[in-house]
Amino acid sequence: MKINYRQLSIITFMSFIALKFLALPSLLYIESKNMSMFVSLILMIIDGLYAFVILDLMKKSGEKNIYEFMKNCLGTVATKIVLILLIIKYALVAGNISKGLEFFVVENLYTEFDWFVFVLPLMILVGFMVYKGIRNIARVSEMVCWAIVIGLIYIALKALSGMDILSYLPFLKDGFKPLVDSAWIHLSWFGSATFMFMLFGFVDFREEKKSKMIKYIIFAILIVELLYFVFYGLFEVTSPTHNYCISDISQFSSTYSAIDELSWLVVSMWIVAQAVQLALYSYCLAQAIKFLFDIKNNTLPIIIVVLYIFAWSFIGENTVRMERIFFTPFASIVTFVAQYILPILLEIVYAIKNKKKRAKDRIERVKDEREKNRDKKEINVNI
Amino acid sequence: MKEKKIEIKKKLMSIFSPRKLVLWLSILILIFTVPTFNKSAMSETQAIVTMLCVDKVDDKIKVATTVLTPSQDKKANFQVYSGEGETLGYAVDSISLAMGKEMGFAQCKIMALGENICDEGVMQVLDYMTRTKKVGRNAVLVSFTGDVIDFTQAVANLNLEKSLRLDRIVSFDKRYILTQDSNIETFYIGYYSPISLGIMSKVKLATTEEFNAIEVASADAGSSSGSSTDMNSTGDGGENKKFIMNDGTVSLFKQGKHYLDMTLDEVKKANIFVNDAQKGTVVVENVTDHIYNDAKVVVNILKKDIAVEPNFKDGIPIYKTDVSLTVFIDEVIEENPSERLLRRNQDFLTNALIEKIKQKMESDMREIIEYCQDNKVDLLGVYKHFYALKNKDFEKYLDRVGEDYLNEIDYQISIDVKSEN
Amino acid sequence: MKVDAVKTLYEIKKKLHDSGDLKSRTVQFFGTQITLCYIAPITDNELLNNTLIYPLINFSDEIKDEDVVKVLMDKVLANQEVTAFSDLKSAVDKMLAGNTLILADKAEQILGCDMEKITVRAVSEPPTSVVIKGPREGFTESLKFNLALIRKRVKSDDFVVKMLELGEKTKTQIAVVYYDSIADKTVVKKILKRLNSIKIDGVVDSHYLVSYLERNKHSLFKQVGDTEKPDILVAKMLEGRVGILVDGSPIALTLPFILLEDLQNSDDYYTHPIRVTFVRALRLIGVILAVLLPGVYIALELYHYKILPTEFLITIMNSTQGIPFSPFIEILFIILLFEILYEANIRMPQYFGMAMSIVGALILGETAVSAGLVSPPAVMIVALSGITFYIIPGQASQFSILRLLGVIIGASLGLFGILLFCVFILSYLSNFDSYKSAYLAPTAPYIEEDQKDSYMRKTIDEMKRRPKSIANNKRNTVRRGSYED
Repeated sequence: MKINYRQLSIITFMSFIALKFLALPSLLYIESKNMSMFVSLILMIIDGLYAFVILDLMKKSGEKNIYEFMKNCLGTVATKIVLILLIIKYALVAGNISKGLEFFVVENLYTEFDWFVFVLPLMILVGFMVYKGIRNIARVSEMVCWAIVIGLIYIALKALSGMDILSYLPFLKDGFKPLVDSAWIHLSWFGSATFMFMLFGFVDFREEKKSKMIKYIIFAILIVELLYFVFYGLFEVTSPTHNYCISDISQFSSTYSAIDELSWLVVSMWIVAQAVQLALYSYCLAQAIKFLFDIKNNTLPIIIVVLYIFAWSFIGENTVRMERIFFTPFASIVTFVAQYILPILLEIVYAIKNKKKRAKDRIERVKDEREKNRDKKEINVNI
Repeated sequence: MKEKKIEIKKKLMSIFSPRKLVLWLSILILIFTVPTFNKSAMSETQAIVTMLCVDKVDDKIKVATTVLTPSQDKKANFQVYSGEGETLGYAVDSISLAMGKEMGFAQCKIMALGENICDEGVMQVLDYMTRTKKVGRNAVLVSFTGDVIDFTQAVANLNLEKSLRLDRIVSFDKRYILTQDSNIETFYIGYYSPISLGIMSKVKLATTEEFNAIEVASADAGSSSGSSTDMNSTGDGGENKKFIMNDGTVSLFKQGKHYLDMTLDEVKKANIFVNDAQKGTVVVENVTDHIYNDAKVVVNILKKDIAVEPNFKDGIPIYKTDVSLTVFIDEVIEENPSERLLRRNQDFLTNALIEKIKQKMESDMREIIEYCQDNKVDLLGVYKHFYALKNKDFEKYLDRVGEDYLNEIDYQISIDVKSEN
Repeated sequence: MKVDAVKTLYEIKKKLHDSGDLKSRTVQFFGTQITLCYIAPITDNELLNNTLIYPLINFSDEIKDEDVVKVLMDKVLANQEVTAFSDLKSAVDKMLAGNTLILADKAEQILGCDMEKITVRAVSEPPTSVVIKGPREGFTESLKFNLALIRKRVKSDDFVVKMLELGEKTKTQIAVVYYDSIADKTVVKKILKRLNSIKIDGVVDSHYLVSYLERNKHSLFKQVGDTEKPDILVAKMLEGRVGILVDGSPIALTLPFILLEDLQNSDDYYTHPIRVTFVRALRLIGVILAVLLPGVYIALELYHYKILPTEFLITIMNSTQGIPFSPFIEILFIILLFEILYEANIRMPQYFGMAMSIVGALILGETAVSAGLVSPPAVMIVALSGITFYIIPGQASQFSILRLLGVIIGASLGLFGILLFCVFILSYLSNFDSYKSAYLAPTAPYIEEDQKDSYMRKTIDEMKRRPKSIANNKRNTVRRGSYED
């Protein structure tokens, strides 16, 4: 059940654009004002670089899964701690996506509806996709990916004429501090490459083309930035009040005052993308739980994950408020460690271990050769 | 013990076995489906509001709406409902109660605000409607004079008889609106910007006589007027029937409150500064040269490019506007037209005419600048340009002069006129 | 075994429970009594007379102490296929397949001559796959004849026919056909293994085998391809697929099957590529419309009126007002009506068909609308989706179920439910890999090379390699040469 490199690139692409078009742009604006798109740009570029670090680790791990790989590098206890950290990270992202989806659907599509009715089919879908494994998620992503891309570009281009470029000026008026603040507070929305940890041993590197991955990541960054560019240019000071970036942009396209019918198609595609993303992060979560508690079968972790998604429907009224109250400092630290420290740490430990191993190997080889030589000599003597 | 455990496990697993799963799924489908058997279409359970009018009368909020109702013939049918209450919420609820239906505002594409509420401040109304009642923020904002119910009735009549919508009347031509389409979002953006300026069109409610009188008057004056006869019914109704009349007036709001009205003439002049308003006409008189003989020439603007360059020189802000026009000669009114006018392949855009156009444009622009300075409204986006492009100097300047920042700016205007060839 | 003509005949008669169509004829052949026995309806009389009875009676050469069987085989029987049986059971089996048994007294073996009478209906254009430009031959119910149709097109030593016999009571001949160098070896092995393991009393039609060959038996979706035309079968074999022909069935099965196959049509390869690309896009849109349109309509009506532009909403409101049923019941009613009409139309004798479709579609629909029972948009939408089913006839039966599901989900969950439904179907189909081929290939997994013949089609000479989506052995260049050469 391996996925190929192209599929990995597409999942990465989807993960990079997931979470970005709901509440995030409006939240970013609060701290970093008209420079918000640069915050996301910088963080996404960092995410992109880290994607390659994790990919490198993935390649080094060969057929091993993340648990075995980390156990080799860090030992059992440390591995379990890291796994807990990753579980928190995945749980936050999965919760965030499901919550975002909930608000988006209930507020934008329905006038009055009970989310509890919706969460059941969503649970079934996610449970099914996770049960069927990463290849399933990869293939579905592959199919919906292009429709989403075309939709997003369509929305952005249609709204482009309504925006005001002057709102991006003055450039960096208050220096870099607001950007750093904003980046730190909203870090948990980024870290889009962390899902790759759970794909260790599931990727077929035979048809590896680094350029493909680079292209997809750059493409993801460009699309996000294009939409942010339009978003902030369109709404300027009222940006913080627009919690549903994607549907709000599509309402204010250049065509004067009519809810654009085609945009709803695009918005629908976006919902599909979110559902697939939810499945991806649920998969990661299930995998991490499986490794942590050493569960042999797949069913139990999936049931836990699905119930976890269900549990989210009891909590919270407003994404923005939730983000403000209890995600922020904790989630940022988790993301920071999981995304930015862990890969480097693993790389270093791996390098040291490998060096030792190589040194050991060399010593042994030398020993062997000496012994062989001695044997030869002895043989010679005997003769 | 172990066997029992295994047995329980087996039983548990059998619940989730694929064959049983089908059963579960069908039960689930049934649970979801049964309630929908009797569910009627949303358009029947909700009153579909297409326009909302709000005003304040004697300390009470008065609301009137046009509600879409089905009819046998394939036409749209609107009914007017109104209600009042202490607050906007109560007023809306009272309509809801009278109709026996929930009010659905999703299709509400126009919000009209009465004079009184405009004077008191409109932000609370907008906030309630967009946040609680979920009126789309792309709904068009219009202010009006007259009674709420009369106005709504007139709009409903307009919809019925001419199948015209108010928002299309207000914005059918960009020449007659200012800066941008005035919807709720742009109003918000204006409100939350440092200059806190909101703009919306103002329509009037007129009786038949009033309307006819204006029509005659505008015909006499010979200049075009914002009230197009097309969109106004010409008195086929009774004496009391009232009409929507758009004479091009635009209301300006400061801090969300009505501040002053601009006439059509002023709007047109202000629109010279606005890139969005591409079209326009310029009328110049007394043009005399080798082609024209004391002629009155109407020039149509085909294309307009505006480049704004804010600058500081010795602490004095300079607001430089370059206007580049591509024009086309529309009408030439002359006593004895020369035969040259009939010749083809001749450039009628003579130097004398260009000079006249430049003079006229500059004077118009100066007038509107003065208007802005006098009324302390930043219609031209001076603040925005200076803030964006010359931030530091401008902030220093603002500290010095405060609210009257428009007055000390040196406005430089240069105009370039090209022929369409 | 020593044959005693009378006794053996008696035994055969007993074995066949004195079946009425078992006939026999006894001839004296140089002092030996020879009994011919055969099943009359499947025996070619002329052949029997000319190649058996006539030579037997007219044989005039001297024979000495030679074995009768040897003489008969070498000098008398003018038949192309003569088999000697040493046990009665296999001899009777062969007789039931059209052989005439020759029971010679005191002989060691029973001889069997192939006298099968091939009754074939004329080759005609199959009604399920009509083409505008292209071969019009279709398979018939005779396996031999069908193989002949294929052989006519395939003159290669590479082409293999593996014969099997299935069905304890029917003893149906089954032919597994493929190109030895092209078809994937493991796939062929797997298919043969599966077919050999089948224990069934009778195979009446090729579709009896389908459930033995499918991986997900209970799935709604088709997993085994079928065709009624030899040209399609050959084209599919050239791509590496394996064909299965069953005696008595005009439908050949092909494996492995991918979903894209139903989007393609044999006509596509005989028309201009640009037109084909357009048509395929149309088919894809057709699929979406067929399955989702009624569901989306009902979702819009019940939940999302705000998505509709006002003018459109007015139209719908005006036409749906005063309908006594709720929208859901209304749509269900119309779907039911259409399904009944469809089913009746197929089964109805052809001379009724025309009248029936007029009565059904026009009169029933029209009166239902004018009586105010159903609304015109609902009728239009269900009818439109019903017609679009047949843009891909191969999948029509699945679509009608999916459409119903779509309506139920649209009515109970709205647009969001429909979106989840779509993702679920995509996800479900992603797992349908069988016989080393991905069901949704070349879309998921995306195979760039195979895009030449997926949603768009390039010209034949540009399709140089066999598709990767289908497991095959040889990926060599199959087409070369161009105008410039």
